[in-house]
Formats: sequence, structure tokens, C-alpha cells
Amino acid sequence: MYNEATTREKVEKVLIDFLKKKFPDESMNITPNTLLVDELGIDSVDGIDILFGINDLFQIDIPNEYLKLFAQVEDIIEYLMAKESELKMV
Amino acid sequence: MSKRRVVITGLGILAPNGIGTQKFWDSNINGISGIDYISTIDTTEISVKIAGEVRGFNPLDYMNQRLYQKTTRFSHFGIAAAQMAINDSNISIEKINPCRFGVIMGSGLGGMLFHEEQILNYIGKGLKKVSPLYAPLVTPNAVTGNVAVFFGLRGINYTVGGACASGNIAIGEAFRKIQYNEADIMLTGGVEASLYPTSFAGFANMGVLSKRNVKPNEASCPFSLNRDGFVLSEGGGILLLEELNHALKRNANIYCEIIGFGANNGAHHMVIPNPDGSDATAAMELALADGSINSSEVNYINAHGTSTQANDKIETLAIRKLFTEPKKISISSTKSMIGHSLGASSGIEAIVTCLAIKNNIVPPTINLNEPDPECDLDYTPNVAKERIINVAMSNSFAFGSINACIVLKKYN
Repeated sequence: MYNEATTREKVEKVLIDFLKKKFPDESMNITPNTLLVDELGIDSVDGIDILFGINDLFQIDIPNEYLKLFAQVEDIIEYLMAKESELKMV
Repeated sequence: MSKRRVVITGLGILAPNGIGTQKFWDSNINGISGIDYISTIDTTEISVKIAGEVRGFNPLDYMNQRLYQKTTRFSHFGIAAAQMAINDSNISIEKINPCRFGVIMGSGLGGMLFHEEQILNYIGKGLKKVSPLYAPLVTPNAVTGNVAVFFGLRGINYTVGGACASGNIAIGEAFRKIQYNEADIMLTGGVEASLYPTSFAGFANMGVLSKRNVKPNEASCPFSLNRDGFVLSEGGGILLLEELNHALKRNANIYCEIIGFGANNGAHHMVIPNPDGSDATAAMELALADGSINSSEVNYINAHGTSTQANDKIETLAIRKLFTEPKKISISSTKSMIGHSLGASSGIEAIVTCLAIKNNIVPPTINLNEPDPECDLDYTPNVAKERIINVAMSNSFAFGSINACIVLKKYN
């Protein structure tokens, strides 16, 4: 696999690029610290749609129940890093 | 309960020969076709190559990227045309009671375009790859629901599925809601995103589409001897209906009044119209009676006029049965220029009828050079005609033996 720093950077870039496409109006401001509900305005249905996109992008399977654990972009990155060995970034 | 009067105060349109009322009307009175080779479907395997696509439409001119991603093409048409109609009406939504503002639109196919994409995902990648947004994108009321959410309209809201008569049935229903004091304002009409592979191939394989591929803009030729089927098209035609006093109080621009709606069923066949046309005659008769109009008062009929052998002959017969002097009525088929946009068609044609009354111009039936002897009425061949139009009817006849007609009248 990748070394620690490279993987983290890649995951962050791929994820943030994906979110920027989903939220082009807020794209300038999306960072790991961006709050999913308060700043991106994600509701529960948006959340499932975004999770679907992330699962497709990284070819993993984050269950819908995990959605409520993600407050900010960083939380998703951390989850993905914990699953690093399973990631296949397209 | 006395019926309240209902007027049309806003129009919004996306058609193959024009986006926006002015461009669309200019094309219509100048006989400009919107039919061309289809750009979005590979037609190598089938014999139909032409369609009426709405080109140059950028949904992002009407909604943000996030809403665009959460909706599919028929909803894009609906939201955009609703925005145009609201702008045209000069209504300030913040100044009216949103609970008295409803939305009833018609669509034959709803979000089937997205459905097809998801079927491909399912077959190609498995069930887990089917979009979680499948239901809110595909459901026919995605269009009316999104319009309600987008503009904050809290009145009655649903989508009518009446195949090619969807638009007229929606308009009739919306008309009733205002007449009977269930709403003061209604957005209504039809939208259709019909140009996706399974729909296009299904109609083509049924043999109902024109194969006159050589000159696409001449393929749709209603009432002519050599017509060989309709040209499939897409689009949206949305009208803003308003209770008369509500419109007068805010000094609205009134295009015309809607006075009659009649609908029935031929109970004959899912696809083939009843050859004696009696059910179509009865639907027209119902619409005239609803508007307390004598058939001799009708100046213009916007025909269903699909360019199929069956429709044009039977519609002619049905008109002949109802009107004592049918040759005195100006008739035209909008589909000669834009093809058949199924559920959107009667929404678009209601707009044409409305503008014909407002401007006293009968738009032409283009490509009518060699008339069918069985279609022997005045279809306004090829060139628009100036004529005072006080009362006009718009016909729509659909798969499932549905007939739906509306009657519009000059406002005074």
C-alpha cells in the first residue's frame, strides 16, 4: 500500500474533490474541518447519497448507520484511514 | 356553489423550437421546425433517427448544482418552466398566501430516464449500486414536489399520468381547483423527458414513429397524405392559472380566460383510437358545454394532430361530427413543428392556443403540401393566418383511449 503520509493526503484530496463536486456552491470552503450539517447543509437523505458516492469512490462499504458519527469531513477521513488496507481509490 | 372565473397570467415553455415564450411563439408563427437528428441516442440498430430535442437548455440557469443533481430531466423542465411562468406573471410569492397556490402537472413517463440509468447500474454492477435517490427522482410527482419545495407553494400538489393527454388533464384539474375555491393560483401544464433509449426504441419498434429521416424538419406532417407517424420529442409547457379577481387586484397581465374542460375515455384500445371518433367528439362536446359555449362560437382548434394515419383521420372525423360548419374553423397542429412530446404536448399546445387568442394569429401546420382527402378541413397549411380568435379549443387524445379537451376564451 501507500506510506502513511501519502495515503492520508490522497484520501483527503479524493474525498474533498468529491464533496466539492457535490457542493459546488460551497466548494471554496471545504476543508477537513468543514461541518457536514451546519456548513454543507447535509440532511439525512443527502447523507445517504454522499455515503453511496464515497463507497463507490473508495470501493468500500460504510454502513448507513455510521452516518450519524460523522460531524465533519475529518471524521470521514479518519474512518477511511482506519480502513486503509481495504481502500481502493479509483 | 357558483364557479369562479379563471384566467391565465403566466407562461413558461421549453420546446424543441424555442425556450421561452417569445422565441417559441416567433418560431411557431414563422413555421420553424425543431426536429433534427437525435444527438443523445445511438440509433444504429433502429430505423428512426430523428427527434425533437430541447437544445441549449442549461438547467443550472434555473437551479443550483445541488438541486440539479437531486432531480432528473423532466423535473428540470418543470422547475425551469415554472420559474418562467412565475416571472411572467409578476407574482411576488412572498406577498401571496402560499397555502392557496397549488401545482398540478402532467407527465406520461415521469423520471423513467433515471430509472433506465439505474437498471443499467443494477444489471452491470449489482443491486448495491442502485442510487439511494432512486425513488425521489423517478416518481412522477418528483416534478410537482420539487416545484413546491423550490418556490414554497403549500397548496394541493400532484402529478397526473394520462399519457399524451396528461397536460390537458392537469390543466383541467387545476382549473377546477380554482373554480371551486380550493386554490387561488395554480401552476399547471405538462413536462416530459422522453428521449432515452428504451422509450425511443419502444415507440420506434411499435411502428408509430416517422421514419422520414432524410429531411428531419419535414418528417412531422399532420393531415398530409404521406404522413407516416409522429416524431418523438421532449419539453415542458407550464401555465399559471389565477382566479380572476385575484389577478385583477394585482393588476396582472391576462392572456385569456379558461372556460371549459372535458375528458372521457373511448374504452376501445390501449393504442388504437376508436375509428368512429365518437368518443373524441364527446370529449370536445363536454368541454364546450362546460364553458357554456355553442360550437358555432369556436374560431380555432389546436388539434392533437400527431401525424399518424389514425389520429389525423379520426380527429378530422370527430371535428366534423361536432361542428355544423367545420370548414369555418381554423385548425392547426403544433406537432408539425415540434413533434409529439407526450405528456408535455398539451401543456405546450395550451400555451400556443393562449397566444393565438392573445395575438389573433393562427399558427400554421407546416409540411402540409399534399393534403389527405380524408383530412379536408382548414388546417392553416404552412403559413400563419391573422384572424380574430374569441374562442379556441385545444385537443389531446392519448394511449389508453383517453380524450381531454380545454376551451380558452378572449378575456373581456
